[in-house]
Amino acid sequence: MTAAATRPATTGSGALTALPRFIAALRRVSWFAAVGQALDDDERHDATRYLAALGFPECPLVAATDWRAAEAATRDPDWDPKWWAAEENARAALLAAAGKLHGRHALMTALSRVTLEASDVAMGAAAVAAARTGIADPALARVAAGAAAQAAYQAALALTAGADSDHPFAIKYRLFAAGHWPLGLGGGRLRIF
Amino acid sequence: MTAQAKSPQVKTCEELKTQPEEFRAACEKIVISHAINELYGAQVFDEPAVAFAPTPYAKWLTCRVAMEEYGHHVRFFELGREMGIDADRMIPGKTAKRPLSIFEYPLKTWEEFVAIKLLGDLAEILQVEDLLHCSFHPLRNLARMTMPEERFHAQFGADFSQEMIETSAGKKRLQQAINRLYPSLPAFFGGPKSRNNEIFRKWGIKQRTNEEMREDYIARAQEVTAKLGLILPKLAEAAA
Repeated sequence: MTAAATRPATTGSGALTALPRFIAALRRVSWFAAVGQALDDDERHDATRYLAALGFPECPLVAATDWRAAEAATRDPDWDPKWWAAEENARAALLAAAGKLHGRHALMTALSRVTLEASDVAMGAAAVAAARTGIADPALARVAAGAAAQAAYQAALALTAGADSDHPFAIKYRLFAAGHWPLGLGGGRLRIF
Repeated sequence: MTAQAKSPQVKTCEELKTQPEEFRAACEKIVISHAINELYGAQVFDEPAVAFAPTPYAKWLTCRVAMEEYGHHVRFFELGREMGIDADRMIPGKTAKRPLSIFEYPLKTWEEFVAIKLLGDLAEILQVEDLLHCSFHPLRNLARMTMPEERFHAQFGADFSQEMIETSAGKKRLQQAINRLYPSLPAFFGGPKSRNNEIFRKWGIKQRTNEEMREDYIARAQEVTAKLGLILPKLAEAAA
């Protein structure tokens, strides 16, 4: 895996021009390759920093051990919408900053390329990873691909806004790049697959 | 011999350039229309729906569906560019061509989005089905590539509808959304005795009249809603 895939931290006026490298690196990301496996210390540290950066510093982690458990976590009606809202607030701030730097149209065009590529690459990877455990579920593969594409979009946005590698979207993307899938907050815990 | 049997079978965009002007213009119209409407659909329905979706599962699935719709736009756009169509003619906001009236419907709830996937994407399926034997093969092949995703989108609508009708309150909200949305959908198929449709069929680009497609659509829409215990509202004479 390349540095471009794991560390979307380029800053300054060249950040938009860094996106083609970011897009090219999407094909080398280990999407969903480590789902169901325990997080190592570095990944646990990243997950904790991600939560703290979003405003949930004391939130513990809990693992989803298989695809059906991951599905159940994402379908939980008692999930915590504050987590989604915190990400949306961070996104809006980055969008405003990056829009000023690059212009709205150029930015949206570049980000659309990221999401389209990420969505397609991650869709195949999710379907294969699920199939390896005997799960053939086109809807669940699409859910995973949607989550991955969102993470890639958010990381690319952070990159174009000149955010550093401590930004929650940069950290979240590193978790995806390491083959995991953060499933969101529910029951006061971050569920991670 | 039917009009379709006499129509040319055009295998490449290069070959299209040597075809009669009427045939080329007809293919361009269809590609432009799909490029514009796929992008409009993603922008006015799918992207805003992410915020209304009730769980991360529904939000991420909607994200992916939005990307698929956007991907359809990209495919039609790229085909259009290969055919020599100006990029600006295929991008909403840059072209003077208006999108379909359904896209002027402002999305306000998750139930409305589910109803759009259930019934709006069914209309899209019929449109794409009619291109599956198109005489311009690059367009035919694109339709064949797009069809599985279109079917999934309609299934998305059916699956979430099924979840909604499990409670009487959910069923009522979905029925209300259908009541608001459905009357504008049959217009998706264009007017009767359409000159464009006549040309499309003359050249074997499309197979059916607008009236035939509308009639088939209404029958299929009735079937999918009846399975859910829902009712389609009566159409005004003009819309039907």
